[in-house]
Amino acid sequence: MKFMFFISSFILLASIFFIIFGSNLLYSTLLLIVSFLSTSIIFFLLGSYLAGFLHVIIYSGAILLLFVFVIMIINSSSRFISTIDVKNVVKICIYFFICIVFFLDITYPMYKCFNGTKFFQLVSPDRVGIVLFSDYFFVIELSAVLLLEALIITFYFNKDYKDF
Amino acid sequence: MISAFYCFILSAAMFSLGILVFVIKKNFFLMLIGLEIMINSCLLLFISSGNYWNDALGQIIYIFIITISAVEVCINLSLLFKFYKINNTLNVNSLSELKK
Repeated sequence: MKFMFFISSFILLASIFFIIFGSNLLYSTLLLIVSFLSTSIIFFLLGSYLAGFLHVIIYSGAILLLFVFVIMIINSSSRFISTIDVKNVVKICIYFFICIVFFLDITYPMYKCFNGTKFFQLVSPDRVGIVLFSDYFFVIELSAVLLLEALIITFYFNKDYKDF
Repeated sequence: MISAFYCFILSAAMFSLGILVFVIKKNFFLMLIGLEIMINSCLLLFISSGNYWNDALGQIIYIFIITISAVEVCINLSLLFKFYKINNTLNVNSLSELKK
């Protein structure tokens, strides 16, 4: 189990590194799908099966498919991302140093609090459903309203008034 | 068994790399990808925290965040279409010309 966790974490971080150093939009999107699938494997390993299934269905199946459709529609196959040159390498080193400082700043207090003394427990989908549809029913309604707002905003963004 | 510390380290590393993608790349599309990576790291943190304390609230917040992420992707991709229609490029350095 621990071995699977480390393997999927390695695939996740490696795919994000390849996104950083990549030069093609479609490959970057496919690598993002790989990273999301490895995240869903981690969710399964942690014992949250509902989140793992939702991650595969919604993220990898719906949202990232939308990304791929956008690449096909804008037809930017000839417009590759500029490859990393010497100036960008210096910039990447500076940003990476900042990120490492940020990383240590976050993880050191966590290391003091969660030093491997307690392990994960299974939270079953039944329990999530019962809590969600009783105490947190407002969250579902709010999510539905948010999706409706997104539909309206998207319609008005791409509405061409000359056609009407 | 997996310790909680590993998950927190992994989410912190993912968030750092997402910031790196968002800051370095000048492409609108890749900036969205960096944003998705950052949201993904937050989701991992919520799920691992919820399972650590044996609480279902982590997965409920996960469902809410995934909805917000879908909304954000819809709006940002429509904005990307508009941007590409006007500028015929995805380079964000020409973002100041969006007003025309």
